[in-house]
Amino acid sequence: MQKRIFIGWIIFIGLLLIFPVFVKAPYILHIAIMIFIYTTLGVSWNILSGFAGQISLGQSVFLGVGGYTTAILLVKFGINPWIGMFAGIFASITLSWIIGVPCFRLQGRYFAIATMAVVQIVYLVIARWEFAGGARGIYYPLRNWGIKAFTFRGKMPYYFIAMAMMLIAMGVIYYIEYSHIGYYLKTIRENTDAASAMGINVPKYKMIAMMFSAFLAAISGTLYGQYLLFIDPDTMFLLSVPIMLVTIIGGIGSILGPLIGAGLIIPVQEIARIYLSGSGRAIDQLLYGSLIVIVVIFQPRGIMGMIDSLMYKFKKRKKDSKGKIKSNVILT
Amino acid sequence: MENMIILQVILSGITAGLVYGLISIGLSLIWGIMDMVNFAHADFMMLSMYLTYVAWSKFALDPMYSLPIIIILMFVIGIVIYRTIVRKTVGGEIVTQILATFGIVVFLQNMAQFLWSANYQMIRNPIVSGSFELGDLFLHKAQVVAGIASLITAWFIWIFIHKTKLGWALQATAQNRGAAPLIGINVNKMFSIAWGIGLASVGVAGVLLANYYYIFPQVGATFQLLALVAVALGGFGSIPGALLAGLTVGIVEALSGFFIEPAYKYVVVFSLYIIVVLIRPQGLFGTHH
Amino acid sequence: MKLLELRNVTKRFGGLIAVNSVNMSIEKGKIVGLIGPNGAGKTTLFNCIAGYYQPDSGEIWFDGIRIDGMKPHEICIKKLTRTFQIVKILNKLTVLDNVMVGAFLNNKNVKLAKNKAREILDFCNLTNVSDIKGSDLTIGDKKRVEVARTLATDPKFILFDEVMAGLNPKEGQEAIQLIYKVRDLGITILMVEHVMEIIMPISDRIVVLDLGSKIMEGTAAEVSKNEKVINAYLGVKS
Repeated sequence: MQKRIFIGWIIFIGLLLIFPVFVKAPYILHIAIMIFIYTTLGVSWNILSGFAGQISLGQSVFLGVGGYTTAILLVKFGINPWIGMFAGIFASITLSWIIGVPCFRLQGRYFAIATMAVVQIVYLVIARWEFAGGARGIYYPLRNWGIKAFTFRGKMPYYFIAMAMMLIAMGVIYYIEYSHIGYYLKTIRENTDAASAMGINVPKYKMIAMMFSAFLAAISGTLYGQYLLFIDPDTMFLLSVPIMLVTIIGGIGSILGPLIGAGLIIPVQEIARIYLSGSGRAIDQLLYGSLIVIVVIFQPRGIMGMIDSLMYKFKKRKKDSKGKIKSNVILT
Repeated sequence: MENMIILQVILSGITAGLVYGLISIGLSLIWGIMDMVNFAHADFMMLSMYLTYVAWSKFALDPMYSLPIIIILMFVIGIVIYRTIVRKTVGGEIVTQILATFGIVVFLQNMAQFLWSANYQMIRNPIVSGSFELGDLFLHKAQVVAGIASLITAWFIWIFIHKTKLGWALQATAQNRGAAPLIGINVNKMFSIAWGIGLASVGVAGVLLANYYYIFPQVGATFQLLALVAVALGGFGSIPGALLAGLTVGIVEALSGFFIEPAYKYVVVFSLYIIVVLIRPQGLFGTHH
Repeated sequence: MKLLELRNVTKRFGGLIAVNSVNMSIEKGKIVGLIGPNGAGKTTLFNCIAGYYQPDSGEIWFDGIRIDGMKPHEICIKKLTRTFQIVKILNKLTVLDNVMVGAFLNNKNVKLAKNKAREILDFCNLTNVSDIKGSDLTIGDKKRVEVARTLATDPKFILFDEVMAGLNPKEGQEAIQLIYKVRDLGITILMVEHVMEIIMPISDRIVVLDLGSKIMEGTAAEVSKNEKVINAYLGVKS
């Protein structure tokens, strides 16, 4: 089974690498880049909220801290964005500690509310902080180009960097899934008492999940800023909803969920933006809200969940038909 | 003179706090009876504000006259929302509950933007407008009316919960959802009513706010967090607690806006939430948990 | 040797004294039963030992280390584990996964944990259901899985909290057999039970609690004849 997944990914990566050779239209490359970025962000949210079950309603705060750190270091201090990216990671993880250590004692919904409060606080602080560009935001200098400057004229380089980040994200999630960390997080998600009873240090593993989450969101934030060449509080801190949507539709708690969700939603979003956003009437956002509600109620585990259930039923039927006893074991 | 200004600030904090209290009561009710956080609570208030605005702009109906209609309307909407959406998440995973009401937030805010645009609207010259003096203090009529009406509504709800049979049934459901059916209580019906009352009360707050507050799609966002803070402070399922906590939040907000830069007052309030929830999860007056 | 020792353990909730200065010691390799009428403080005592509550006073010693005040997961690492009265297995994971989670405590390698889990499932006669999700099991199997995952942590001592609750007589008999097998592995057992026909024959010693205090300790025969114990169950104040 694992071999099949590996081969599947090799093929997929191969296709992704060839893709820009044949498709050069900047607009399509843009959609691809956004799919990659949202997949990475979705995975980051999924690790904390899906696998570990700690619903965070303010995921964009890590995105924003990562992006803003890089931006400020670049614009105010002339520090290379690649170095800035590491600074962003550091800042983001530090923030995750500040939030996590006190707040992981909180149960589900209280933690969710706390994350709402945190993102609001950070948003308000940055929007008022002139040094960080305030509400106007920060425009990136267009002096240097090329890989060293992490700034490019064309879309292709961004495409590959975004793809690399997505692959890092998938690497992280596969690592978690196939190591003891995945099992531990899923245990914590379902029942923290059971987890403690098996020797799991619950706060420690929640923190591990959050750090992975913060890391992935931070690098996305850096890339996002370098790609748009502009950030402001709104672009950085109000992205929690699409991030969550993409993961929920694809399947919260699954590995491929964010990728599938992003693959479906982002093209729709980008196209809708062209044809509908002119009116400023937020039809696309309206759809997102409805989608979240509908998916959450009728198919909480998203698309991957549906596939999973079908496979499980198929497996069970095979076992039953072989005449094996399902339950009620008889002792010898 | 300084004291007068501070008193003025506190007074506006009190009137605002009473409104927060009213919003929190509805939130606390739903939370206490159903053990569910309604993240969309203040966005229903936003809805009621817009309904008030539409009644005023299209039908020349003053907020104070549309109040009774909107109360009934919001009550019905509450029941409908429960029956169609919320019921399906009861007893399920917390993830589902949180995300379902969160989805409603997104829906409501964007629906408002779609229907009425993102522009800030205001109701001009309602019946309740202008201000009056009380000694050296200036009081805005609209705010005072909002505060008083909040108190009255809170009182009504309290009477209903504690002095009527239906109210007792609600309390019973809150205390022991499993046992309630055993004494003939239809738990689903109780939950519908909880949502109805919750939304009706927040509807009152919306109508009153519409008298003097800007109306825009995201207006609920700040109030929601403030209400959550208040409920955390006041204890889940406690009506007097929610009211008192709302008052506290209002006063803290007003004072920190005065002494520290207004922009950072929310930082103070939200930090308060985090501190309280960490130290005393059941709130200052709470009985739940 | 005394593996578990309680010295004057007391736990209060507000004004109520749930556990009142209980002294108890359990020797390695024994099965000790803990009985008492409802409200006697049995589960509270369990929770104190397992780290879910911290005693207000007194000491709890396990394997030469003082464990009162330690967190549940730390106590599990020290090789004292427990099962739950209301079974807490992971419904979304398969039986095999459930047991693997326990196995990870001593070895983070997935392959090794899987092998160990399979061994334990075999020991507990759960191999048939190893790929079934927790939610699809019968209550008897669920309890068995809980025992299995507890065994996976390589405990020296297991607290069984009303293992029999909710089981039909046949399942109950299977559970007893499993407990004997666990004892034969050299694991020391303290079990709370209400069903006298079950706990009397299986226990080496029995400790009786009433209203938070230990009122008697002895063999099954001694305890069943003791007047204080009989009165406690019948509600007569002694």
